Amino acid sequence: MSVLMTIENITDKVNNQKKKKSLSTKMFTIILLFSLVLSVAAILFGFNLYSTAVYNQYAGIANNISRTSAIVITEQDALHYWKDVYNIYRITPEEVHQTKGSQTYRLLYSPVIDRNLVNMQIMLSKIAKENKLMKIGLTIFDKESRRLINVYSSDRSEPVGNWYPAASRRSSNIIIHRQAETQWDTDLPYMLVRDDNGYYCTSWTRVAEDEDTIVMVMTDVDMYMVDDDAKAFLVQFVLLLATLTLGVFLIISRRLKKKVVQPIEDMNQAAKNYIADKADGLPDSYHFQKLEIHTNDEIESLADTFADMEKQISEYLNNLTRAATEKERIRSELNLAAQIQRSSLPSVFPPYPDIREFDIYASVDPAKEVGGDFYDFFLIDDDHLAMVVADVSGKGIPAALFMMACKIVINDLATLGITDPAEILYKVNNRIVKNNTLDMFVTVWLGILQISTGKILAANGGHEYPCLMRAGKKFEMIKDRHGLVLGGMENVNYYTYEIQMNPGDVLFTYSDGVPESTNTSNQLFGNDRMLNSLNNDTAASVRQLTLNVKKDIDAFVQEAPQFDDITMLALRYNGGDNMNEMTVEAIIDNIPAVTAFVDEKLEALNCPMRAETQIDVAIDELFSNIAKYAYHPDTGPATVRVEVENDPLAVVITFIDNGIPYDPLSHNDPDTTLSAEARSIGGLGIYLVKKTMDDITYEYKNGQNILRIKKEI
Amino acid sequence: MIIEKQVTDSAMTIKVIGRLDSVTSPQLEEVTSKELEGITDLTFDFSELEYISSAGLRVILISQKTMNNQGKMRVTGINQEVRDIFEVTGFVDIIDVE
Repeated sequence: MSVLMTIENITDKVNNQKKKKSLSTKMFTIILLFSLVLSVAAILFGFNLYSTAVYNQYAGIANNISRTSAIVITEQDALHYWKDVYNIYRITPEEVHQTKGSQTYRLLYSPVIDRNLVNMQIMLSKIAKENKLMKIGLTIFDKESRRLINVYSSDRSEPVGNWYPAASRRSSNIIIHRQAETQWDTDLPYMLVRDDNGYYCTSWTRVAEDEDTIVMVMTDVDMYMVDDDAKAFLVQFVLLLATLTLGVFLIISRRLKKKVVQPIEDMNQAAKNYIADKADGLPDSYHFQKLEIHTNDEIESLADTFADMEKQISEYLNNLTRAATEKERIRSELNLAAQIQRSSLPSVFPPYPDIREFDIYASVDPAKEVGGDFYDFFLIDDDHLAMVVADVSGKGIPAALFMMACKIVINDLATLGITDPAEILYKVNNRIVKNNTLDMFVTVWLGILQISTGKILAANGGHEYPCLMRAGKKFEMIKDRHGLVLGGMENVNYYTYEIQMNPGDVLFTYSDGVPESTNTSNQLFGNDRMLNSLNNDTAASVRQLTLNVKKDIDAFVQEAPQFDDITMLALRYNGGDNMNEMTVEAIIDNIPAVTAFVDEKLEALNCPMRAETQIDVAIDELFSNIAKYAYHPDTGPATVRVEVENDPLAVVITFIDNGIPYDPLSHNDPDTTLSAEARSIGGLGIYLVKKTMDDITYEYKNGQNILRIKKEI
Repeated sequence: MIIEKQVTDSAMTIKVIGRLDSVTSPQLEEVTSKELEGITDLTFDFSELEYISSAGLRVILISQKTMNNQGKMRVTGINQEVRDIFEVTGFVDIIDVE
């Protein structure tokens, strides 16, 4: 059941996986994204590097030209113009400065312009043209107004004295200011500018400086050209990178597919096949073991582990099958053992249909398939019946083997002719002790019935008390003297005692499984319940007697499991061939038992009904007399003996008691002709007996009243 | 022994099944000694009585004496064995046996 459910679960999971994205798709996506990120990062970084290099190069060129021009300006004695221009700038009021570009403003600086200055303009414009510069010129930085003031430049259209705020060129004021203070000559001073004039790189070199001004040659280089170069580079770079990435991507993908995805798919397929195998009930599978995965990594070891697991599960399943087969074999052997054990106990009832002196019935209900309890009975000779009820410690096969051994030893010794049960138990014990390596023991009750007389000699080796029911009375326990359990130690003494069985007496022996049957509330069935169920129907047959007890046990324990074997043996003694008398307590209640005892003899003689009734009435009269008067006010024993005479066939019944001497025949017969009113009932019984019996005699002898009646039949 | 009683007005029928002997007679006497008051017509149905001993006869006799004072009594359905005893003891002379 659970295995099937597991397989279904796995199948469900496999089906669910189909709906999910495949592993390869996931991996390709991840690699692609990774490649893209890497490419973009490479492009940005590469382009930045490239741009910086290019800008540095252009700035270097611009700076070199600035420096060269500065030398030329100095050589051509064209530097001094800046002082003239600056002097005019300084004395010109601010409101006039605001009119820059106007003709008036131009005229302010016209005194500065001379031939040499114009030549410088021409030369600078040539330099600019030759070097593809946007502009080159001599410029004053006014520290106070933070303005750049043109002295002259390559752009001849720009008027001398033209100014513009240094701040408009982005952060040039800061750069100029910083460089003016610290590293003016050492670094390459340049900046990229994008404004109305276009996109260009400005570089400068200082040619003069005083408290108020910095004078420098400024060179602007057009950067659109540079930008075009960078774009071309970018396109090539992207193409190259994309090609490379794609190549690497394809290679990695193929490799991953081969080394990761394919092996996992193979394993998945193997697992599906494996599940299918198991659903078909195949113990052996080779799906994982057939896989050829040599990735030399965790996946390979995973595949190896699966292969190992598959192999081990196959072995386990095969072992399991073998174990189940073995278990089945043991179970069938156990059944055979149970059969052998059962068949070793006498189980045909009645066992001796020809022997009417006793009825015997025995049963055992093992708690497990083979148990430790046993009963046994067997004829030692024509006149002796041995009865055994025993309980071996423990249960199952060991107890059963021990039990068989005990049973055979007891049987051996009893049939050897030993008549004393205590001696038999003594010898059985010594034999068992010798080979008892497992320290098992057995409780035994052994009784030997002399069939002809009803005398039982019994001995008890640690077994339960037997129960005895005297004819017409109730079952009571016989608290017999116990010896030690058998198998415990050597040379243990046992004690033989005697039970005189009279006709109608029943002996009930049993194992502790009866009183110790336990119900679900952990209550014991107990001796009282056992006696009650025996006494519920004392007239029951021996078989019915044990069935009654078993029925009551079952009703008592209900659903509780049976812990111990339940063994019972019941013996009813019917009287022996030579057994023609019974002794009972002389009380009215025992009349039915005496009557039954005599009737049984009469029926054996095919006595006519009428004679039997008359005899029954006679028994009632005579026995009730003894019961009422012989021991008054106490009670004592009375013996009734039945003898048979032939020619003519007659029954002689003798009543014997040890009570006060009394001759019932000494009275006169009652007058049977009196009216009812005048009648007395006394003496009517004896009269009745006299009338119906053929003879009646009385004698007092040896302290006994002996009354004898005879009836021809 | 089983005793079956049937009372109609002042008439009573007592049926005795089984044996009426020393053991069982006290049961019948228990009935006859306590329940006959006001009964004028008593019948013992002995059709299923197996036998009777002197102890039973005693109860019958006591009942007869009681009924002599207050009505009539009869015994019915007796078998041969019981009839023998009734005859031997002279009870047939003092008891109305049908």
